[in-house]
Amino acid sequence: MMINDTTLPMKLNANARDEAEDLPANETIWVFVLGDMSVFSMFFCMYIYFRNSNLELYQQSQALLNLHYGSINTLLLLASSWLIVIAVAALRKGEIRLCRLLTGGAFLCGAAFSILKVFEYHEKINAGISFESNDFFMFYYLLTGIHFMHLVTGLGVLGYLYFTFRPTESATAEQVNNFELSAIYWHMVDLLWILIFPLLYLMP
Amino acid sequence: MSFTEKMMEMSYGNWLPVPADYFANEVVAWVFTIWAGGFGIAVIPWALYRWLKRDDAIVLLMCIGGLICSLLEPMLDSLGHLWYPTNLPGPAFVGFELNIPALIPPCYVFFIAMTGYWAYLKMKEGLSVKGVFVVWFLISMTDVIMEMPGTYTGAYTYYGDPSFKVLGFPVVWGWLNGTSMLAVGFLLYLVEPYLKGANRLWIIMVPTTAMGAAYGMVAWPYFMSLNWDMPWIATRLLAILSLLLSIMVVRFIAAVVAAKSESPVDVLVGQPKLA
Amino acid sequence: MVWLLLMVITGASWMLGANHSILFTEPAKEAAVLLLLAFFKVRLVIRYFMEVRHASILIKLASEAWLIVSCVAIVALSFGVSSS
Repeated sequence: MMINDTTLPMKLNANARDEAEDLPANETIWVFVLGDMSVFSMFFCMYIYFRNSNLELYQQSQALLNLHYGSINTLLLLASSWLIVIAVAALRKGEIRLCRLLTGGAFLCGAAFSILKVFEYHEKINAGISFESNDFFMFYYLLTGIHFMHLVTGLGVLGYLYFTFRPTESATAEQVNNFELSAIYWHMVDLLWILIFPLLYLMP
Repeated sequence: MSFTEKMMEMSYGNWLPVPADYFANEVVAWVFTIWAGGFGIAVIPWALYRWLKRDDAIVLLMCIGGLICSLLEPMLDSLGHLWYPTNLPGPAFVGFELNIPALIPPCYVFFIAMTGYWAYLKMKEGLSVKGVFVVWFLISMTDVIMEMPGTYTGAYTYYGDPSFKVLGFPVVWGWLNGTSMLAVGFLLYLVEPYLKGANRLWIIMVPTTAMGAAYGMVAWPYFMSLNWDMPWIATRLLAILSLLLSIMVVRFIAAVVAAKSESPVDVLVGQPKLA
Repeated sequence: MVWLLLMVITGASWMLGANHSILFTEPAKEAAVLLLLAFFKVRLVIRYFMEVRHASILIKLASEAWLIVSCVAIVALSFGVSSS
């Protein structure tokens, strides 16, 4: 069954199993993160395209949003990201206790974001603004909703990290790596909101 | 009647009435197209990089395999009672008299081939029985997360009375698709070490065969519940039966993966001869 | 120090966003400034928070490519505001 065809145009790797070490988890997370960010970029382009074609409607609807929810949420996520940055540094120094504390803080900031978001949705729905109201609110609910799903996933990860920390002497290399990968994901959640915020709330 | 006429004679299937044609909101149609298909496109630069720079064609071959695998979609839509609005961008192709929107092939690239590839990587690293179940659960969740915004916003619809609908999404599809993604990863895990040289091109057929096999193994009770008149409770029980079958199949896969992870000797057919 | 800088920039961009047309009367320009500021913040997050600064050249290239393509596409599209 073995065919060694060297003229094959594709360089097919005959021994990919040995490459296991060659594909670090870091590469998979970056493929996922950059892929996800690309999908969001496509969303944003489409949003602006639709917005341009019906600017007045979008401006009027946008005026109904509460800017302060958006601003406070931006700050919350930035603070949360920042805490995770310090937490990663602490973990590398072996200060697990501090790292755990900071992770908890980051989780609380994220949780505060989601509580505000739920309040905001609630307020909108009470004001009779739903998904079907118009195209702007469709974008509003879809973009913030999909972002919200990312955020809830991230909160789950942070919560998991928080509760699985054992204040042992030092963290294992695998623990540190897992934490770093989760941190990259969490920063992506922050980064996407940094873009969603001006697009939905601030654009003139 | 000549033999040719006999061959060409129409036979009518016993289809349920499908929903009336409808239009999704244009924003929804485009957002969902990107949501479901964008990942499959975003992953292509990486696949090319793995092939050209790292001499590893598996990712690219799996991507191509994902595109081919999407040819299964009209069968699943037909049996699984899924209906698309007329204005989703597309069609990419037509099958079972259904227009399959353009988002489906790239969607398969990511949500069947790449999730399967990820499961394969995890298996190669070594997994316990519990680990396989965790991987299965996680990739099932990717399907739920991908589909729910679509069904909720009417980007497409599951018609009839499918079991266990949440936000318009019958969660049965979560475990059906999760099991097929895991099966794709498992088949790749099994055959990849044995494919050398030009034979590595067979990796292209991994997603299609494994997904087809998985649906045959676990989805038939659910499809029966949708396509045959029966008491309401029977439909729910059949949907649960598909879950039990899925768990059984995942347990089978886990048994092999866990055994292979623990033992350096190949438990199935002995150690592959590596050139 | 980098974190301090980031927070200051965040504060500044928020002030700008909270007061419409404080800087430019033309909406297209204001939109461009807001978006460029956002992308600048994003770049800081990528480089410092995600530590791409210390990552392999490949990740650097890929993330910069994403940033440039997205930024150019989105800002260019936003200029359609003035033409419509």
